[in-house]
Amino acid sequence: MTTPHQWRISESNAKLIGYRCPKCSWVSFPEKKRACKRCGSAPVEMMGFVMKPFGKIVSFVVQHRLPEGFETPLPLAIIEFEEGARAAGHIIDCKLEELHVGFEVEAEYRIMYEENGLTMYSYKFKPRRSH
Amino acid sequence: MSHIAGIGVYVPRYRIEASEINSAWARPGGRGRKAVAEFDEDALTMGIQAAHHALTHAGVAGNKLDSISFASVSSGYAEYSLAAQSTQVLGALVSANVADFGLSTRAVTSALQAGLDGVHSKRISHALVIASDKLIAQPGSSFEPNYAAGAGALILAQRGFAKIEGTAAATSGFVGLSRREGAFHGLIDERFVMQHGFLEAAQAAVMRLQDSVKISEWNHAVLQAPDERWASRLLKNLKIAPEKLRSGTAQIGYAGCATFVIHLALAFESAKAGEQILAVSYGPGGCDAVAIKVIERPKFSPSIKDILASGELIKYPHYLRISKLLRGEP
Repeated sequence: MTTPHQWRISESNAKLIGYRCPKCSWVSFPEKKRACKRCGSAPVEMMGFVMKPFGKIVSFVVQHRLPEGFETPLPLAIIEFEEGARAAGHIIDCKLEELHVGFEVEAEYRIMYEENGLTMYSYKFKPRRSH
Repeated sequence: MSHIAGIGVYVPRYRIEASEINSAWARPGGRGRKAVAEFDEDALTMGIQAAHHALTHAGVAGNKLDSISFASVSSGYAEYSLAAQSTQVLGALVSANVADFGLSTRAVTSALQAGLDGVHSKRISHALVIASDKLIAQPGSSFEPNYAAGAGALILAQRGFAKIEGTAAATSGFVGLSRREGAFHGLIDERFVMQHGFLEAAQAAVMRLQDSVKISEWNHAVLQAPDERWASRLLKNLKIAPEKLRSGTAQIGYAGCATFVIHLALAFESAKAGEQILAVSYGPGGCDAVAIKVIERPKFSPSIKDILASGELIKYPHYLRISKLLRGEP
């Protein structure tokens, strides 16, 4: 059964919703902030919109030692979306030697973990290919 | 009649050769390869990817969908709506109709018919039909080299690149395949089922279709059934040349409901305007047959052939691990 916590995060897990500052156009992701981190406007009513699933790697690490339940080696990266927002995410469908800063990726809906008998889904990032 | 306005295919990245699986079990030979889903992929995630491709192919936004149907025999749930989960991810409106079809691989044509009826009656302007399966056969079984993963999706609308000219069903009630929840896929007495469960129903459905639809010649044939040899037998009995079969089974294996849509995409890719496609879908209890006329050959980028031919080969232990068939100490 969906728990209150799962319900609260369901929309942000299903869609890549960014929040744009009406004053300076800075994009917050995934939280809707009440103050703009770039221009400092506060309080500010940020406008939600669905971002394109494309971005590039700004920084990454490869995890080799993790608890049970994780596939290793697991590349984790900071992604900068085309809209400018940044997020941390898993890198998938990729050879480790392909990874580099500036590597273009696209978001893909995947299984994240299981909680309360439900499979939880959200976005991971794979190399941007033409398909 | 209703039209197909878009079609999308998703095949997971990994492939394993049938010979690699056979060699692990000390068996000689093995033809072709199959697609293998990653540990974090299931019927829903693959279906979502295929749906995105179909929406892009049709040039339709998610919020234009009036109906979302999801066909799968491998959702893993007894109760859980994959169609409802897809709605939010694809950006469809909360008012969209949702329906889940399962319990038989024939579910893909059941979902297709429901969508066609809605579009034909003008109750629905755009219907999305998703077909997705991740079939896990028992290690060492004869089904293991063929049972695979993949997804396909269709957008049905009033206008499109292909017209659905008719459908026909033949239901005998012969139970060729039954599986308890959680059991491995692929428990079947192949030859007996092929003759009585499949061939008799498939031929009856095609005959009924030919009685209701004006057919000059079948230019392409598509079949969703667990064994490629079934297709050769059916085409032979129907006097359709074997080279008219459009199949990706040798490249990606058999992916249940998804196979129908993936093979249909292959047929569209090689079809010319005005040609007719015979598409047959099998499931325990009977068959559905669909007649499709191509109005204009759709473009695919990358090509469906390239999607099926691509992929990264893996070894058997890797396959067991990402298919969650190999577990370590707790």
